[in-house]
Amino acid sequence: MSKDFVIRTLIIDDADVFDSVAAELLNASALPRIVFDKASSGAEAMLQFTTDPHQLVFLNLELVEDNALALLKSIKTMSWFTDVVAMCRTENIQLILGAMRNHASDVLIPPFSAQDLEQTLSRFVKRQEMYANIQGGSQSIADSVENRLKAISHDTKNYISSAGQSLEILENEILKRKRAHYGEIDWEPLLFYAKNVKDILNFCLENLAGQLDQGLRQKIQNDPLEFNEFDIIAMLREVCEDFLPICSHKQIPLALETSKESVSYYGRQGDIYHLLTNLIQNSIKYSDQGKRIQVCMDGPIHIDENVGYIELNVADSGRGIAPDILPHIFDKGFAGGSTGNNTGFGLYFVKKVVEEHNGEVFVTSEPGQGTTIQIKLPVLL
Amino acid sequence: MDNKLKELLKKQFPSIRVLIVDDMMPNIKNHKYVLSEMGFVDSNISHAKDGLQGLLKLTKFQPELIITDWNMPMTDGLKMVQKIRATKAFADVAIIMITAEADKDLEQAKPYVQGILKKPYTIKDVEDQVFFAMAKYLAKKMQA
Repeated sequence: MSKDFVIRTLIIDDADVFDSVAAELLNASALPRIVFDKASSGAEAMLQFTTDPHQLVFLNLELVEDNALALLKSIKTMSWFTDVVAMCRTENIQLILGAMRNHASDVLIPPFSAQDLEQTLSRFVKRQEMYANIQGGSQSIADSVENRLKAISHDTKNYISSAGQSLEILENEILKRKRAHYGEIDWEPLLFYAKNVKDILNFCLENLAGQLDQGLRQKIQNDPLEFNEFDIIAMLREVCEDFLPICSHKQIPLALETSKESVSYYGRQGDIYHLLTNLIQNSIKYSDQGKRIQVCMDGPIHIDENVGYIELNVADSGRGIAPDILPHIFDKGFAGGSTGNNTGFGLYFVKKVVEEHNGEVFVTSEPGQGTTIQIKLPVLL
Repeated sequence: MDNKLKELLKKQFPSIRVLIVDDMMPNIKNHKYVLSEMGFVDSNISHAKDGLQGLLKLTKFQPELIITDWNMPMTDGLKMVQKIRATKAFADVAIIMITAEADKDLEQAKPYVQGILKKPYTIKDVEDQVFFAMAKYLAKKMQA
């Protein structure tokens, strides 16, 4: 790995374990250049990570509001070749063991020196070289280049055809006006379709450039944005199990009910995993000791012959949401004003993922009585 | 197609409900333009962003003509038309499939659709496919 190679790194930390001094020390080292992104909560991290996965993640295992182990699992589900360095004090040996079991690549125990960090990084570089060997081999590179070229060729045809048709429409409109000898020209439709052509070209730039970029980074085998088939009940069960230690610590019973043993679902696995994590985490966050959380998954329920839906209800008997806040809880950056650690990305992320899967999300809440979030995800039958 | 037949067909278009399924909004806008130039009414045209959303709109909107892209996220065009044809109520709906795929793939779609449009295409290509598919659909409807 050469010195001019850039490592994209994400630091997930709500308590500045990994402060800017360390970041500067790392950049001064003889190792490859590092570009940092920072996230102070799980939701914020996932939002950054899903847009463009990082190669290296420093994760503080002692996040106050988030389940760091669930986050680690989520990251490894989406991008296996991302290295996660767990940061944790020796007192929390259980968390460190949990991180190692969930494929963390390295552990840093604070307080750590620049030398510790440098060693961690050199181990990371060695692992990356090893991964490159595993993923490499001239055949797989040739195959993925071919796949990517196929996709580029398909998309180019698609966008250019669309742009061509829009221009044809523009031409049609201009001709019509010429024929009618309009005294006063109505520019509106012309401007409208000219804008459409512009939009298509933007699509072209964004998507083709994005694909080329991905192709160069050899991410084809490991694209987190791909849809695939998985058992959503098994996933829900796993997420609930991950939260059991926190629930027993807070003395909040968490009950899971499903109408079927397994349901095959087609979607973005990493996104759905994080959606489930987010919902349950939220319920735990806003429930006081002794309150109960009920998670139910029903379905698929038939809408018609072809389509049905899975219904997920996450109900808590926690603090509830005030009626004036309720319509805004899915807004981007809306933090509810309840705690300082709330970034306002969690429920926004939930809604975004549900909408991308053609689903709907509903919320009912009564202050002091609790909140129920219901999600309906359509499935092919 | 004979111009007289086209004129006859055009008289039916204002009452025909059309569903456009495409993951690119600019394409949907283009199709809407071509359709309204042909005499279809804007309020009778609906759209969906992928095959699954298309299927979700099917029962409620009851389209008589579907113009769909092949390559889409979630559920692709081919999977969607296969499902539609397997549903008795929609066995006769007119379907035009749009694709940029290579020729060998077209054979897979042929049994399920009345027309296939290969990218890149012109406005006239779209019009021809719509006339052709509607002629077939309306003839069958009149027989019934």
